[in-house]
Amino acid sequence: MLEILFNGIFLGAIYALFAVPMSVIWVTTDVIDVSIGAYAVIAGVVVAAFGLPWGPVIGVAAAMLLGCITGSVFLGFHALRTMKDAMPIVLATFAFMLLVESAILVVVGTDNQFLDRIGGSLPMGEAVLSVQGMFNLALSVVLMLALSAVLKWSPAGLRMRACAISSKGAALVGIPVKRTQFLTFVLCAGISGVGGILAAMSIGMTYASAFTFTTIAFSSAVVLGKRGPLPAFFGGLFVGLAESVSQTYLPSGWAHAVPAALIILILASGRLPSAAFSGARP
Amino acid sequence: MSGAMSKWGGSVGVLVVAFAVATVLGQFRGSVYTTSTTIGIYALLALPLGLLYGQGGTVSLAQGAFAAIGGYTTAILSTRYGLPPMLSLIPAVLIPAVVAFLIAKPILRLPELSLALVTLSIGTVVEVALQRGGDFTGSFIGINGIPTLPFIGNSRIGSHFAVWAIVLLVVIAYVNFMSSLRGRALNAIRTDHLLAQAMGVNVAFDLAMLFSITAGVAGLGGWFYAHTLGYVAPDSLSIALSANVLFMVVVGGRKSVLGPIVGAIFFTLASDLLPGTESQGIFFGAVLILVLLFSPDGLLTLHPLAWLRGRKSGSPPPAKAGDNGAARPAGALQ
Repeated sequence: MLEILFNGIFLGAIYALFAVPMSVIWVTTDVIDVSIGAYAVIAGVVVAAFGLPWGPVIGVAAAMLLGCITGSVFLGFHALRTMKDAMPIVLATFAFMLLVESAILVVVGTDNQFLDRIGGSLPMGEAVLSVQGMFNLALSVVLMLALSAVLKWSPAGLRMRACAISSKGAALVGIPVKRTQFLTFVLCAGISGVGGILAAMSIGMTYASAFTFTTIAFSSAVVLGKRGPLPAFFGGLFVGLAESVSQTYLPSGWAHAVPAALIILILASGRLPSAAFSGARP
Repeated sequence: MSGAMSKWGGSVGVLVVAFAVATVLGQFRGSVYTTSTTIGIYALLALPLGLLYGQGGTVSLAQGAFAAIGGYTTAILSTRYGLPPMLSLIPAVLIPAVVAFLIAKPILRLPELSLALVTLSIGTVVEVALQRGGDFTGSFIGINGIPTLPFIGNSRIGSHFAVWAIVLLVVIAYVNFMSSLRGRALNAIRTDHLLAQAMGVNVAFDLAMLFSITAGVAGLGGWFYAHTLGYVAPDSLSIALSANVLFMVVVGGRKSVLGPIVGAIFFTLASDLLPGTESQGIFFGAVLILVLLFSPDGLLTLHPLAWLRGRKSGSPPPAKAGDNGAARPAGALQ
């Protein structure tokens, strides 16, 4: 049982790296970026192709490049003023995810993409913990702490927080809101890319994993009933834990439905107050 | 009669002309009927989503799931219990409609972004349930040997006629619904929930009914699909189908009755004509982004020259008769 719990937390550490960027983009721009899964998959595919030591660097760069494109599309909607609500942008990020999935399918085919995991394991009581899993958790925690520090103390982080509280207010005090939002997309794509690299090392991925990762990111971002990077981080750990326990106790295959079922349960139960949402109907 | 003609005469006229052209072309090349039937099935799924999203302001990505419930219901009843297709039509429509009505209350109060993801999650759960349903759902393989529809059999032209007759009926029902009291209430809901409530509209019930109707029509599409192809599987009516249907609605035009049908035609023809199924997602993804950027109300409302003029003068493009402009009364269709 202890091993199942630890494996869940190790898996959740990867999911947290999908959930945190989705949550940061959500609070900063009022948009749910459905492409989060695509950033992760492109980084994972690139790292699988290039291997170590340069694969992770190129993978994160590729993810950030995709973040630039999404950010540009986001700015395009605002520049053209054709947007009446956030839904068209969300649909555009959905379309972008499909585009990236298809491009990956064309280039690498349907094969599972993975990078050799870090070998070794450590015994802890009756459980055996993989070094890869512990590396996932450690890197995830370090990134979360780094993000928290950036948001708390750096000028760019303070601007992002100001945009999250009120983009109109931020604009009135001279903060370049659009540039800050664009940078948010790029930074978050990079974090998601790191999650994709860990996923390539731990569980592998195919071109179609982008949609799965996005579903996981959203369920992790809402499962604790609050928006924000920290709830999203712990939400990721929770979803990983729930999936790990489900894999053990539910019939084969049903664990894949756990993130989706959590989304339905949490949102339909009204646990997340509607005021916490963006894009509410007028 | 003249009132009815003025209401749906334009839409029905365009459809009948398109149908006649396809019928004539099919005489020279039989595959036209197969393509036309596919477009018709997609139109049956896209039309109700157009009603829900375009007129009700509610996005659903569960159309594929409801079509799957309809398709599997008729497949199980007709292959396992020997129920004739025309009888299994009733549960194939009713079961998704009832399921949708039951889940509508807790989910339809959600804002549209979250609602879209919840409906997507419903699709995921339904897909996993179908894949893991064992002998009951045929698991990953699905269900074979579904009987064909009476009077149609394996005739391609018969399927072509049947599906477009159903689409025509759905279009007439759509237009009539939107010009009815309930349709106007729906437009009021889309415009302002609170105002609609203040004016006596039962927002929760009306949205639940609409969600239920759209699920029922999707179930009808699934029923027709199952009896035309003789086969259903989790992959055939999946989340990808829901995404494709949303593509059709957005690209064609969500606020217009013909928009979803135009989207279905565009999607089917592009799928047939584009080389390599792997790379089609690049094309469709790019098209969807461009349409959302430059013509958010779909291709049917695209006026490139007016848009360019609007950009040059720094003001929005002028509203024309037929645009979804402010001059258009609530409940009116393009």
